[in-house]
Amino acid sequence: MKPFVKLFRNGLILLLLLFTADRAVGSLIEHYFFTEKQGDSAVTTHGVLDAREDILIFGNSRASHHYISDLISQKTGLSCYNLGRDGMKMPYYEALLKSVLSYHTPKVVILDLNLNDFEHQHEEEQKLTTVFMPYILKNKEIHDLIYTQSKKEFTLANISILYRVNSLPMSILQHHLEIGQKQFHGYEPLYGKMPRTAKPRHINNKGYKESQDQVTAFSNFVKATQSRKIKLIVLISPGMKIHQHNAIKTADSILRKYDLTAYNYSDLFDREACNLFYDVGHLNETGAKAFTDTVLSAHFRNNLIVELAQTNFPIPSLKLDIKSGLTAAIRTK
Amino acid sequence: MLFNSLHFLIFFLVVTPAFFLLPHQHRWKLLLVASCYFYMTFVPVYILILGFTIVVDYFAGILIETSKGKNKKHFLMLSLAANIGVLAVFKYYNFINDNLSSLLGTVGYQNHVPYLSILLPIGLSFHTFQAMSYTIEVYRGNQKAERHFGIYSLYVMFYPQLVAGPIERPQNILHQFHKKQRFNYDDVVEGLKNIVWGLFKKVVIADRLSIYVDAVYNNSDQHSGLTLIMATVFFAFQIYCDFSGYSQIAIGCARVMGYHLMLNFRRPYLAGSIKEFWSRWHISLSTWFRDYLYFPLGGSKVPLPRWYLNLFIVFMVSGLWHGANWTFIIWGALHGIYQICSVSFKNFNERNILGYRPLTNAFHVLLTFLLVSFAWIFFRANNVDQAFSICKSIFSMKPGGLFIGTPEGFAYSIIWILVLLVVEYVTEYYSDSIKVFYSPNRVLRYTGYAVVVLVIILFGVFNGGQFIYFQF
Repeated sequence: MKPFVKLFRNGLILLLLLFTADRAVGSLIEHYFFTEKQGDSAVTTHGVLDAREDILIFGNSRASHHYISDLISQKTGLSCYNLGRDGMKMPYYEALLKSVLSYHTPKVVILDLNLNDFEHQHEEEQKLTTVFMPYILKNKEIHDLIYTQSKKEFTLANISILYRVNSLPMSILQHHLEIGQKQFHGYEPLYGKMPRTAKPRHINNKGYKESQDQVTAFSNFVKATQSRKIKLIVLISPGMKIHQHNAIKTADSILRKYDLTAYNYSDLFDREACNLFYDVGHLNETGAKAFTDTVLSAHFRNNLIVELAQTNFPIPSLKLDIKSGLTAAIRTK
Repeated sequence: MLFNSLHFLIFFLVVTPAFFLLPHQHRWKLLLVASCYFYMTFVPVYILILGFTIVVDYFAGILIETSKGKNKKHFLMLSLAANIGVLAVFKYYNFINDNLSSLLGTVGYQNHVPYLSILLPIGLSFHTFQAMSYTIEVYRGNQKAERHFGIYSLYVMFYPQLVAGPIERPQNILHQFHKKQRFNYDDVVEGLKNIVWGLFKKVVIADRLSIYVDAVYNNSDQHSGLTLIMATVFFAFQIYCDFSGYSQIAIGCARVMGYHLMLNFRRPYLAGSIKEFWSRWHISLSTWFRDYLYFPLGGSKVPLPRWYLNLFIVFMVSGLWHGANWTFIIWGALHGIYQICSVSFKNFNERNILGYRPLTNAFHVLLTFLLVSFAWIFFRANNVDQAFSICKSIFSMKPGGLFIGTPEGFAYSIIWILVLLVVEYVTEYYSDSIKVFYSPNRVLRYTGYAVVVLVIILFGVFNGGQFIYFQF
């Protein structure tokens, strides 16, 4: 047999073997990936495929640690899910919202905006493509997004199932064995507190520079909610590192077009900070409860809930105000 | 163009079949054009520097061969000066100027010599050294001067080894460009195996480890001694897999076309002494320094103090070759000191200190690895202050827990290092009895290929960036 014919034949056998193994092993990993009940990916999967709740919360790790979905559901009578995911920024929130809107219109969307959310993030597109890669054939919005972001990734993801679930087996195993983080409708509580000496710090970040991509993503996010007449609440949740130059001004200028505003709670907890924070960026369980109560009393007044529930749900009475919510939470602890 | 990119895959799939389709007399043209394109995908204008050294060394080679007496030496000096001059300007000028400023500053003078705002051409030290080895070998009479300008250009520019070696010798590669390469099934398969295994080392191991190493080394002051030890060990494997991975892909690409490049790595972390380590690590560079610097200095055939000095000089220069930074010079000096100690305590090294030979050997391997890893701190640190601060944190065991980063990323790192060690160990000691890639059983062999490719797709880090050694 001529050597190149031999190479062609053996190459073909190897390709067939690879293709078959890719389909078999890839499908198995995909099955376990889409049936995850815990972890970051499970939250994104819920958002991309099945977020049919009335209230959806978007943001990064601060969102996922700061808004107790079950408490919101219990107090408002509306179903709620926290779609916050660690390490994400505006383009992720925008893409996730669009994929939700492709099959469902929530009544309320809470966006947890970070003070530095409009700053440029290195390799944002790469990150976005990696996070959404497993969903490329599951949601048209994601399919189009990956195609726009990177034709190369799009092609590879369509060829290989294993490429779509790249690097995921260990976290899938971890989540199926229920090791590590646990979420309750997307809310992930943190247990522990800061040292007594810890105090919120105002940071003079003179070099603050906004990225047009981030601002555009925010603008698109707002526009998408408003075009579907969704009640949008933009909040900046408490933190111990408060940037003086931040996203609020730009966010407000965009929100004003829709008669909306961004509510800044970044310095809500001052004296009690060490008891309410897990680290400088995240509230602990007690802090999350206090903050969620604050949000409920300030933004979910009875008339709003009635309006939203359209009389389909029993409406509990809300008598919390900011101070009492906080005090009650600390006392409980 | 990086070996681990889709761009390179397309390039390779176009160039290789075209190579075999062309008649022999036109193949060098294809390879030269392909190599130019390959190099110009980085910074196009730097091909002019390459062109300059090629022209100088081509004529220098012929003039050295045709000259006699002192003229012969003058032409060699001219060639070496041109090559070292290019290195001095593009690689060391700002470093020298910077140190001059500091030195003058200490005695109250100000240095007004301007800095050059230039990027270091990719792989400059590699192709400069390869070019120098040509004129030196012609001068020594070991190699005939190449009359074919195209073939000589290809010797310097051959794309697989252009930017990060192996640094070839003319005796090994030049004659291969003249020889007609026929399509050889075994060569193609062997080449492809090298490419796949090199890719595995790069994207599955090196780029995975780099995530942890970068996270720790870029914030080293915030990490505990334990974490810094872990990051340093990870870096030892990262740089090995990154560089040996590159070399294997380079060797594989050349082999597919029938060209045999020299071996650059031979399981260096199984070395039982520093001397042995250097006979296994970056072989093309260590033999270059041995042949063109160590031996001319007198090697070991000189009085003992001079021998020590020779060893120290060679490793200092080797450090400087890597980069214009004191961190690399200290790294080289450390290896020089290791070598001197190794020579001084030769008897101790050979004694069976633990009473059981396999255990003693394992102890020597571990000790060598620890010494090499310690030196890597200086190689990886961003500056000398950081390197010493890391050493301080490690030796004082700065308190704090072990930084994990992402648990799955950390677990992958450990798993792949273990897999690598098992493969290296089996290859070193049991390659005759345990065979996967070379098994006569086709099912086993193909399963082996498929598993490696699938592991690359499933666990590879595909945004890992360029190879570490490109910067040299």
